[in-house]
Amino acid sequence: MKSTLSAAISLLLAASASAQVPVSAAAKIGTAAAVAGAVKAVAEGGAVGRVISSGKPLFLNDHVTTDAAGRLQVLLLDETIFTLGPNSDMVLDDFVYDPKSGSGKVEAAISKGTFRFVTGKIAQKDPSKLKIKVAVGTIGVRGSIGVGETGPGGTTIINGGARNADNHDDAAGIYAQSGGKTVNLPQPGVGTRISPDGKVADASFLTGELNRIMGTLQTPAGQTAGKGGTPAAAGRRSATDASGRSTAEGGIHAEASGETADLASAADAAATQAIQNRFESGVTGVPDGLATWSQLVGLVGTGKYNGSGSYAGSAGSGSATLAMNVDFGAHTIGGGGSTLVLTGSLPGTASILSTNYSSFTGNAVLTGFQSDLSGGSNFQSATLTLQNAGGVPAKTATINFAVWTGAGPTSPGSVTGTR
Amino acid sequence: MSRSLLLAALSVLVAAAPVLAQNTNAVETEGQRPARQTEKSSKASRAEAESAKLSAGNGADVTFEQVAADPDNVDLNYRYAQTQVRHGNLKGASATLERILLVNPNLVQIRLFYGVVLYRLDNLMEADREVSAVLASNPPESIKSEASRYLVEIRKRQKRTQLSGRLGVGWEYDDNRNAGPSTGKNLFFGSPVQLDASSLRHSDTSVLFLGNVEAHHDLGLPAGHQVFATFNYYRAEQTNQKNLNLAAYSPALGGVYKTPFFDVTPQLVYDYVALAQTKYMADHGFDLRIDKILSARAALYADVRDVREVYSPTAQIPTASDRTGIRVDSMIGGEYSIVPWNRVGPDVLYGVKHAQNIAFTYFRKGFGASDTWLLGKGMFLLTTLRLNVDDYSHADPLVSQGLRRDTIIQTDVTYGAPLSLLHPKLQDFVFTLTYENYDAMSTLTNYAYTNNKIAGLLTYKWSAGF
Repeated sequence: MKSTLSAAISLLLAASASAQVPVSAAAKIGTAAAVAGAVKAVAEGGAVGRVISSGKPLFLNDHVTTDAAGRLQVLLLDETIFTLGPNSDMVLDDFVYDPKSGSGKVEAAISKGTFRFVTGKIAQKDPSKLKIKVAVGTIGVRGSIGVGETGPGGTTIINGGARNADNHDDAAGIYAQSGGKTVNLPQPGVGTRISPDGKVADASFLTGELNRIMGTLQTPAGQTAGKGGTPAAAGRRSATDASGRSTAEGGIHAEASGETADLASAADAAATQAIQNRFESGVTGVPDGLATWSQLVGLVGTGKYNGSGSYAGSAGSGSATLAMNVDFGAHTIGGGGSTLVLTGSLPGTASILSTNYSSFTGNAVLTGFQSDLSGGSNFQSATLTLQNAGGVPAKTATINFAVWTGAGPTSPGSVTGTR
Repeated sequence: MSRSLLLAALSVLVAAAPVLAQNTNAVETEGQRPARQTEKSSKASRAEAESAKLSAGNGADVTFEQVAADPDNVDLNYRYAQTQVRHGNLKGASATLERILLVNPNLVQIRLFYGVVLYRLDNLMEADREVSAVLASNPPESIKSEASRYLVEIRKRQKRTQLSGRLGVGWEYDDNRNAGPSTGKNLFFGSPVQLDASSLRHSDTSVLFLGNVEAHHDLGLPAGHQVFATFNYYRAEQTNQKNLNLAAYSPALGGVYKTPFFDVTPQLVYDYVALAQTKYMADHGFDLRIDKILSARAALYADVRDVREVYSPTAQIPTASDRTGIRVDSMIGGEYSIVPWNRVGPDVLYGVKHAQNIAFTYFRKGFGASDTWLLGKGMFLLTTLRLNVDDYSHADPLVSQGLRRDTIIQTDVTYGAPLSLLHPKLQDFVFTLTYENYDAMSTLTNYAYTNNKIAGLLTYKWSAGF
């Protein structure tokens, strides 16, 4: 009993020690994303590290490191994005941001590893307010994208962004400084090297280096990342996680409660995979023919079915034109100005109203579709069918319809649109 | 000189006055017409390209806060990237798409989207790598064809010598093609003279032809210095007033010198204008422009153009050579993006036009304002307003002893749309519809007139890399 009580007290003390980490002194300045491998963050002055997984907060003065398989993106609040590759080491040592005005200051120190950064609102407001200190030298921006590698052996920095101001959201260019010398890197692929003794080389095209560094930053094909990276280093939630700052004596911790988090991650991963399969449809494929609603649920993005057809019969004959929107992410088809237009002896325009298919099951067929047509009084009935083609889900949409004058005979017709 | 001889001479002059008045206005406006039309065409082409960059789906916007709360959510990030593209934040979209591919590098559609965004950023090396990776993954035919098309464009743009051009054909209606004075009268020795019917304002239609070829050669230096050559051609064939048929061509040769702080663009220019198939004006000189980017939203420019205009007398305009002389136009302007899809551009100008006959020497002060509204999917709306005040330094006694001051207000609106909206294979065609109002007020009634123009132009654009 005594030993149990002692252990309990020890745990309480440990928890108390955790709570004394200067959470209140450190403001959240960003979020980790697309984490792969082992990534940890150590607060300023702390000997304690936190396992970083996707979605975890990052704080001012956090010292972020990745292992040999580690990668992540750091999303700062002003939308400045840092991508760090394996064996990288970065300290977010200054961040001030006023969301209302977009003004502030970003300073990061990257002492080793490969990295890419995309400037956010602070640099857009005033490019001089973003500074990146590297192992040797400093990188400044005029508002762009930079790619680099740094360490004791020197620094390579390459412009990885926009060429010119025609990209009207941005003024282009970055520069490298060391030993009082500034080298401008005005266009993509142009870079410089800073030697360990601080000498900056003249700007030149470093396209081979750019490709090599980018290769270290990207996840190899066939692998996936996110939700905490490799199993061994998966970011698991802890009792102190609500504060966003879980700690344990001796460094990176693992707790029993993490299993729940892993299950949640697995569920998320399964849902995500359904979406990803659709993006990969060209690789994994879906069978051609009649689509099913379940095949559409994971799709994302928007599209438009455009096509033509005809109608003919006792009531009259003519041509039909389809222009129908689909929003796979919102699970809606039609709406937003979607129309079925008839010309010929029974001219008319029907607006195709938005239908949410998220709860539908079975084949991707909408019967009684005439109720979803507005303004086309000459339509008697209509049926929508979605077809897969070429491995692409819901590649075509066909509306079979019947039109009449309001009484008497009808003329059947059909129109097929392709997105 | 006997009284009868003097009266006879005056009679001849009175008879000639309406023709003179008509031709004077024509001389003063026709020389600038091809350049204005070419500039409009160039602005339209740029706006169409910029507008196309903002095209990405039409779903509901996603915020950064939503993404930060669930940063590995592929669907959310995809929608966020679309939102960023629509809002003109291409570099932000590149980071978002990179994030998706870090989560799962096997998403071929996302990788193609990423490549396209990099291409639109002009980051061609990375765009090439991503689009090539898409093609290497054996994607479905629809993705493969799109990726192949983009790869061709990317490879083309990676060449150091870029050749591009536009060919346009259109139709124009002008309700006062001969620039007939609003009062129907001209001053002659200070007295108003009623113009004959042929010199009153007459509407006319015309068929327009525009041609443009540009060659840009990147010198291969890290700074990105370039040399370039351009050639513009303009032709307007009138339906009725054949004496106002215009043909003009303008070659230019120059370079772009890029410094960390501004770009300098010097060029040698030449213009040739023929009226009714007869040479009536040619100029040559230089143009110097400096562009300075102030921030992500704002840019400034200054431009000086110094040319010697040589007018040639023709059967219809025997006094044309009176206008021969140096023209110097200097302009300072800027551009400011209020939002990514709307940009305004004010400018001020000061110019001097010297002439052999000092009655035609004037000083111009002007103010302009333009608005470029990118409607997405390549559509755009260009609006410009220009106010010029021309102060002539000496009176023309043939017209009046009073000094001439012209106040010209010119307003035009152009709507443009790519024909790819009708069919993807028509992606290289752009249609523009322009309305222009030109209101010239003057202290001398001879030069006070208005006209309204409506023009439709179909332009085919092409490019090649070497």
